[in-house]
Amino acid sequence: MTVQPELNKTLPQLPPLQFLERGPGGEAAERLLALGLVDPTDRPKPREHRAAPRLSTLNGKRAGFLDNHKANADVLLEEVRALLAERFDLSGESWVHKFIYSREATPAEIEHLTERCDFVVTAVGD
Amino acid sequence: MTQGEAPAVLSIGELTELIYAAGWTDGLPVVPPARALVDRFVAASGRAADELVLIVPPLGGRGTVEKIAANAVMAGCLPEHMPAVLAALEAMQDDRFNLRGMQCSTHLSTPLLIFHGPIRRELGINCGANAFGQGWRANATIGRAVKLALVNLGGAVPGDADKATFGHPGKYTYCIGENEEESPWEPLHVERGFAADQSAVTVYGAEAPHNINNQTADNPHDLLRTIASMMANLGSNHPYLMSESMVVLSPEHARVCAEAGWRKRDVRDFLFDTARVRLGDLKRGGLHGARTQMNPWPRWLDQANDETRVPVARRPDDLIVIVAGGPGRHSLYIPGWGTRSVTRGAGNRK
Repeated sequence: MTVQPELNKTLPQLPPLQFLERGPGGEAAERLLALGLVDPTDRPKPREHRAAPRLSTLNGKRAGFLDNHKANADVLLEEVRALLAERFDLSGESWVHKFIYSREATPAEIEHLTERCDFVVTAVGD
Repeated sequence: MTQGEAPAVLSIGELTELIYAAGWTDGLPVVPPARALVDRFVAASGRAADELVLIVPPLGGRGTVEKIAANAVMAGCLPEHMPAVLAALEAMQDDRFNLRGMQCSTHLSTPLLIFHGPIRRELGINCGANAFGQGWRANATIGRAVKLALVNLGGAVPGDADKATFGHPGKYTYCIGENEEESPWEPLHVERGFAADQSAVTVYGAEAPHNINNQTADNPHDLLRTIASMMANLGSNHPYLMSESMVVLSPEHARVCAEAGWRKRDVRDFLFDTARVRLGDLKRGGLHGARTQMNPWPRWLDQANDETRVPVARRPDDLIVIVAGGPGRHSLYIPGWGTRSVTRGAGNRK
């Protein structure tokens, strides 16, 4: 299999998830708390939600696909799967199909993927 | 308002702007959550300040009594509103409500609070004319307190974790009482096992109300056919996902049905049979289009026949019927999101 060089290069490490860095707070909130107001927010600790270390290559890795069951999510994932298979020498694949897309993946579904996969692709195809 | 090494006094305008800058508001000004005020709200709840009421999704903030009180102060509540605010938030913990999904969806639904029983009168919750509109402090502030708490504690910031394509005005506040005094039937909380003199709240993930104008019907058939036509369309979630949706009859419309001898069950059965969409039409649009395998439809629907008329719920009981509002021959259809409503006791004071 020919591996495209631009996709086979070492992948950079990801920063912490950015959306957790936004939301309420900042200097204004600190001033309000100093004035004796009660903080109406409770921000989660970003360190609890850091991304896992990124793989240096996908060659030889086991792929996972989490289909959230929304319209076109499977279409998008099938296309990604085909592209990955074309460009990398994957060693296996696993699929999880959620039944209700608005609900989070269950612990059993997450466990199924973590036991069988080195990386997981998920998609919303709205 | 100062404590410790508190800095210079701020004007009301400066304080208001600082609260905006902190990202604590829903876009409207708030009452500053001063420690003394928050403590008074906690005391009125009869619960400990650090008692955990709920973990608020999606980001998992801790909804303690004190944190919720701070949001209730900001919303403009009175201390005695606290049990109502807490009961509504506690009801949303029920897994069938799927608060996490509702907080994040591209769909516009948001929790509608419906109060039942004595608490409506005790707190002055409007059940009559303009019940969904402005002008009543309890409706405005209890609903707002709940939504502020959901956003501030759950991190469902619009455009960020809250992915709603449009949202709707009920996302500021969405709170009514059932008009039990002018209803010919038992109220919703009694249907669900509470005594009539018990206070309760129903939380329902809801679109905005859609008005149904029928000035002329003098019989249930003509009236309910009008309502059914508003319920059955290609853009709604319900022919596809089914689950619950809600009809709010005005007292005058409810009387048209009751005076003909119809019980609430008869209304539901008629709407279940009448509010239907032809399968062949459903396949040409809407949520799932021709991919009918994605729809959690009951087995008895003949999916091989395009002439099959698909209902908007799996069973008549999933069409919630309540009576609210004031004089006038209008009713409402309030589509849901695809999850289930929850009714919970709210203080139970008699």
